[in-house]
This record gives sequence, C-alpha cells and structure tokens, in this order.
Amino acid sequence: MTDETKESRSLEKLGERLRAARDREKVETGRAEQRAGGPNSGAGLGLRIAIELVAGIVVGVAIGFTLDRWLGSRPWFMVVFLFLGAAAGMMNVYRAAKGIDASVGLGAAQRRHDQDRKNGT
Amino acid sequence: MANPIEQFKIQPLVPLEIGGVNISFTNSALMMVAALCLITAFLTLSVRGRALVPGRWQSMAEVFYEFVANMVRDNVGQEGRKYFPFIFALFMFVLFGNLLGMIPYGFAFTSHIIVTFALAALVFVGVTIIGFSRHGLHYLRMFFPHGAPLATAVILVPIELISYLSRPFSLGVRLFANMTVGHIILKVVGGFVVALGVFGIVPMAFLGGVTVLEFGIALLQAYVFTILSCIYLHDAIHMH
Amino acid sequence: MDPQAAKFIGAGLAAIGMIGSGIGVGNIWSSLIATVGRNPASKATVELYGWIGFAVTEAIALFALVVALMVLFA
Repeated sequence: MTDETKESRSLEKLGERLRAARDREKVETGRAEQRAGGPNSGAGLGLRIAIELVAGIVVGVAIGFTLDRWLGSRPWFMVVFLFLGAAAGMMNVYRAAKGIDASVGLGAAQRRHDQDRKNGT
Repeated sequence: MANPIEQFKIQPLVPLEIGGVNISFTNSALMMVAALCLITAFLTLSVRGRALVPGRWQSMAEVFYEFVANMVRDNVGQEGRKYFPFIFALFMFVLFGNLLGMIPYGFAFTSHIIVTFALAALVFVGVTIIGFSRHGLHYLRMFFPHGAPLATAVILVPIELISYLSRPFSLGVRLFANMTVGHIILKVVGGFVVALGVFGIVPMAFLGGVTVLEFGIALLQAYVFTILSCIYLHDAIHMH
Repeated sequence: MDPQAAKFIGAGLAAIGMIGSGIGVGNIWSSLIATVGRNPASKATVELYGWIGFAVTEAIALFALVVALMVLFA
C-alpha cells in the first residue's frame, strides 16, 4: 500500500518534470510540437492533398488563360502554364505528404526538414 | 426530402441597390454582423470583471486568447506579436461563423466560397505587402532556391510563383469544402430520419455523431485557417 | 448540331482520357503501400520511385486536360 502510493507519487513527479522539460524545450526552440491529431491526420491530409493538386492546376490555367486573352496568343500560354501549374501542384502535394512546411522554396524547406530529422525533433 | 443545397441560399433581407450594384443586406451579412456582435459581447463582457482568478466566462475568453497567442508565438516568432490582433480577429470570425452555422435555422457564411476566398485573399495580399515592405524587392529572391543552377530559373521561378499564388485558393477552398460538405451531410441524414419514420432512430443516432463531428470540424477548420495564415506570415517576415 | 454543343461534347470526350491516369495513379500508390507494408526498410527508395511514377502518370492526365481545354477555349 505504502509502496504503491510512493510509486504513484514518484510517477507524478516524473510527469511534472517531463512537462517542465517539454515546455522549456518549446520555448528554447520556438517550435510547436508536431500538430498531433490536427490537420495532418488521415482525412484532413487526404482532402488537403486533393485540394493542393487541383489548386496548382487551376491557378496555372487561370494565369495562362489571362495571359492568352491579353496577348491574343491562344492557346499557347494556357498549355505552358497548365504544365507549370501541375508541377507546382505536385510539389505542394509532395510537401503535404512528407510533412515539409508550406513555406516558399522547396529546396530550402527540404533542407530544414532533413536538418530537423537529424536533430531528432 | 428537402433539397440539401437549399440551406446555402442567400436571401436579401433589405433590398438595396446603389449605382446598379446589388448591395442588399442578406442573411449572410446578417450572420456576419451577428458573429461580430457575439464576439464583441463575449470578449468584453467576460473580461469585464478583470478577476485575478478568472471565472467561467473569463477563463473561456482567456483560453481563446492564449490559444491564438501561443499559435502566433510558435509559428511566427517574436516579430509576430505585432500581427496578433489581426490573427485573433481572423480566428474568432471564422470560428464564430462556423459555429453559428451549427445553430438550427442558422446560416454558415463560411460555406460560401466567396466569403472564404475573400478572407484568404485578404491574408494573401496582406502577407505579400508585409513581405515587400520588410524586404523590398529582395522578397522576390525567395522564388529562386539558393544554390540551384541559374539555368533552371526559367522553370523553377514560375513553378514557385504558381505555388505561391495557389495559396489563397487552397486556403479558401479548404474551409469552404469542409463546411459545405458537413452541412450537406447533416441535411441529407436529417432527411433520412424523416423519411424512415419509426426506423429513423438509426440515422438519428448517426446524426448525433455527425453533429458532434461537425462541431469538431468547425473548431478544427478555424484552427487550420489561422495556422496557415501564421505560416504564411512567418514566411513573409523571416524569408528563408 | 449547334457547333457550340459539339465543342462541349468534344471537351467531355477528351476528358475521358483521364480515366486511365486515374487507374494508373491508384495502381502506383496501392503497390507502394503493399511494398512498404511487406518491407518497411525499403520505404526511402520505393517512395522516391513512387513520386516519379505518380508525376509521370499524372502528366498523361494533363495531356487529356490540355486537349479538353484547347477544345473548349481555343
């Protein structure tokens, strides 16, 4: 009985220390813990991937279409920007799937991601 | 069965037309005003006591405040404090818009793509202006990755540019799609309850679960919308 | 037939080409999941091939989309 209470008390203390350490780390690194169960979970991620891919293509086609209307060069800009938009969409999908942050510049974001992984965060 | 799309219909309450532009006061506008009044009332009345040990209402207001403050601090950093009022207003507006849609006979203005897209475009334009005002033309530098061969710029720059421009689109569509789909599911399942009579108890139980889920989604989507705005803001301020 | 109607029908027919791409993309991810499930150690390599395969297959759908858009707008 006494052992049990002692154990539970020491567990409580451990939990408290863990929480404190985690808080400290959060403040030091200035980084939120991985958004557990948040937008990165299952259905949310799936919907995000679908939207990202379509968004890239739609924006690309819209830009191409406007350029064509403006310059009167139908349909060439639309075709070119459709492929560029698809590439952008795929890049965003790759990012979403790999959990790389959504900031501009895939190369830099990828490097930061690898660095984080190496540091064990 | 009632038409599941009908609930999104915009009805003018006070017809108004100035210079050929229809600016009627609609039910959507009414809900926006209601959200605004509710947020103001909630935040001012709950912290009126300014108790050191917060009561129930005050601690609720403090939870929201701290939640957004932490989000800004973690995702934007110290420089982000300046933009906290905007982020907080955005979060509360989207959250109350989502939650007001969950009230029976209510109207979810966030289930209209023009509303979500306008909010997303506001964030996008604001973030771009912040980026240019902080870094000048140097801001354009981030569309080209460091250390990549110069010849690849022809392809990489447009791709990064389109990826940048697709942000408000995906931000707006995500909120719109989640809210619209949720409300359509509620309506369709509700129609089953009526149509099945006594056996409607089965979809009724399901409806209860979906309603709880919808409240969760209302919170989650407000969170997602705000955190993505924070990430974009971080991008504009720090410019990796 | 109204030429405008023929245009829309043509665009719709062109979009049918995306069926194949849909099957292909589903195939790629399903085999990738099966592979990683059997041998998780191979995840890094196989994933890279998966992304390449996805991009190439998706490009086929884009050809269909280009034809459809050209029929519609050009």
